[in-house]
Amino acid sequence: MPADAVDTVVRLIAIELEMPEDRVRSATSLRGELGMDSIAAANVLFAIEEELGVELVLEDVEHLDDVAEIARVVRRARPTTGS
Amino acid sequence: MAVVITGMGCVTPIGTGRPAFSAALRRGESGTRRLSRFDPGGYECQVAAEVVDFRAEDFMPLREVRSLPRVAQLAVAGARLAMEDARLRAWPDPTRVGVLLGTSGGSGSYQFEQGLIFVERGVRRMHPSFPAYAHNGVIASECAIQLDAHGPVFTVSSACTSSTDAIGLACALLEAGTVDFILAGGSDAPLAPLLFASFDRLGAMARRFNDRPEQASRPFAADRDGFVLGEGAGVFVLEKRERARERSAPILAEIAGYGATCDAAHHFTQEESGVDATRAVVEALRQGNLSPDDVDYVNAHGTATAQNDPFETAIFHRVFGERAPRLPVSSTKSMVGHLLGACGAVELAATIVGMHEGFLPPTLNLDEPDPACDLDYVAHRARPAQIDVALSTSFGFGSRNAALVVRKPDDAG
Repeated sequence: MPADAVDTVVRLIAIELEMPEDRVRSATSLRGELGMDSIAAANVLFAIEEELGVELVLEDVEHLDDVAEIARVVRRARPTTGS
Repeated sequence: MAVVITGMGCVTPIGTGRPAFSAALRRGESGTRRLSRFDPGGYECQVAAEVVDFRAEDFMPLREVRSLPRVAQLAVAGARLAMEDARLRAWPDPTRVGVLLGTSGGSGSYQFEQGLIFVERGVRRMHPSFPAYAHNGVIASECAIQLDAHGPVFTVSSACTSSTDAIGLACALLEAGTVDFILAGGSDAPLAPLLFASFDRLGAMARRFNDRPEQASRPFAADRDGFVLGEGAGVFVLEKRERARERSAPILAEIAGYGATCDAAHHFTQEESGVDATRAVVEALRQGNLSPDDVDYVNAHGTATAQNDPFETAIFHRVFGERAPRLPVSSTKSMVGHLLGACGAVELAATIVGMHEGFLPPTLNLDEPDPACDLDYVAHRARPAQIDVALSTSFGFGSRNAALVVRKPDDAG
């Protein structure tokens, strides 16, 4: 898994929520503080999969609410089947 | 009519933006290549007219680049280019701006992609925005969202007359005083396996020129064998003539008239007598107080199918009489392919570029005309010409007929 998982997660959330990366990086709650809803969360997770070539277990990540937790799951994810 | 076109945005297989599109029309470029979007190996037709120079990130936020269906991305790009062309950075009053776009395939490609995901990977892998993106209305609403249009916003879907109809209906909204500006035109992005396969199965697409893709679209030619499916968008800024003059906007053309009829006869083809098709053309001329003798150029639907080309030629004989053999008629589908619901808008754009810059766009690949197609089709090369009045025709499934007549503005530069 790439070492820059946190950077990628931050960047993709910033794109989805249309806000500066610094604000995403310092947020303690993506939902409560940044207003990330379930559609935005799904968009981010699919984008992470596509960009990093991994397959996430959606049930493991959909409830996560901060960047570090998501990055931890992403680092453990298996590569996309067939890639 | 008192409606004028003050901006155009084209995203086409031969170029994006008016300068690139115009240069390619003048050079007579073909946008047909071997299909690269997916493996065409299993199809009888293996060529298509793909938009190759389009970068969605040049026209919209990155989040939309990743998730928005391509048909809507092309529409947004066309609309943004049209606004720039009309020298509009922002609308004077966004509540008085409408969007009226046409599409045929619409979100069909997106639905197919998501359908595959659903079947192969399950419901949780489906895009949660699917309900908002899977209807054809998304092409207009996405333009409204991204370009701040707060007036009436809707999509017309009437097969291959969709964008011609959208432009005609947009004129009615302007003339009724419902809006001050309207983004009108169309978008289609049908180059996905299911739609491509459906036209292949119908036997409507060219299949004998897979080894020479640029020669595959051959309207009016004796050896034509169907159309080349393409993708793209054409969007115009329409406004009333007086308003355009007040704000010193560049007027590219006036819309003189619009006619739409239906044979109410067949699912696929027009009714042989052409009575209703002729009526659409006559109505468009009538609205502009023009006679057939006033028309200097016709941009034909010209699909290169066995059914369309002789049928359309006969319509022009009927409308233009003895003058028909001398009247230049061309099919720009020979260059851009058949853009389905977007074809009328892109062909109107080609017509207006020719009118504005003084040349007749050519019909490529017309080595030997079908004996039943006996007009001046401007074969092979563009030709210098003064065009004051032009007609653009579209015909569609369900035996629909539509025509737009445009006129060079008095003060055209």
